[in-house]
Amino acid sequence: MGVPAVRVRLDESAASGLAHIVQQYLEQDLADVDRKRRLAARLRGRVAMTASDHDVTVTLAFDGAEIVIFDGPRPPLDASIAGPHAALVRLLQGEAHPLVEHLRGRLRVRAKLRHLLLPLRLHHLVRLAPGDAHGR
Amino acid sequence: MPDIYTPQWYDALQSLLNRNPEVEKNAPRGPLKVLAEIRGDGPSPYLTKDDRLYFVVQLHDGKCVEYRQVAEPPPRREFDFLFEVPASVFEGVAAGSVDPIGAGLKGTIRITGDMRILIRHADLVNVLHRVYATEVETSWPKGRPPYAPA
Repeated sequence: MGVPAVRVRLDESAASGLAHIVQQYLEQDLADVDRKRRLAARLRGRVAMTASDHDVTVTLAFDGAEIVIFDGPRPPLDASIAGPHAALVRLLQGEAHPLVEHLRGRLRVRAKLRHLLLPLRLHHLVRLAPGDAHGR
Repeated sequence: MPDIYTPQWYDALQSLLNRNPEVEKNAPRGPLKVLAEIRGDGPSPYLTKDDRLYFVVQLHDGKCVEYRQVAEPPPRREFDFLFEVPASVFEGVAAGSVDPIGAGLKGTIRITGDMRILIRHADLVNVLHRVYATEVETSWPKGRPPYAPA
């Protein structure tokens, strides 16, 4: 049986490049990777991602059926990941781990107690797997 | 030192890209075709407001095989990426006064394409920025950015 689609959409007011990049990335990756679609369907909560060196934040809101991307921090936030854009890119590339980067002081990762694993699950969703056919 | 937006300027850029080993190292294997749409935005003295200028950059296995301006916009489906850039921002990047990564994250530069390629090869953007900012010698016959607001 196929894995149901998870819609990825931009909030109407989202205008930042980061929001557009994240929206395209998730839409493309979820369309191609069943495992990530399953994972996205199980995620619940809101996570803010901040490229601190460029002062740009987006919030990803997961409700199981869709992922909505907002500009800026959109409370109530359940978790956040913030750091220089290069550190965020290394997370997406699968070259770094959020907890390790947090402990090394390169990223600031926070989560509410009942969403402690949300940053890790988000990382599983967004990281490019080594050797992915996509991304060449 | 060629003038910006001249065939000699595009040729100089192509040559610089092909002399830089970091480009070859960080570019994806196989073909990569990019269309840049530069939009006149007021402050730029090189494009009047609402003018459009298009150029094509094509890499193959990390070598730049095409870097040229085109008169008419080709069909977008032919391209892996489309960059839509206000002229004053593009010229700022070419002059080394605008950070393209910041402009991309803020949405001043609009990027459409396979983001998995962009993320996997994000270092290529840094390399291209260095080429533009420090290696390209550009002549600015109508003035050099940053410009006064229109």
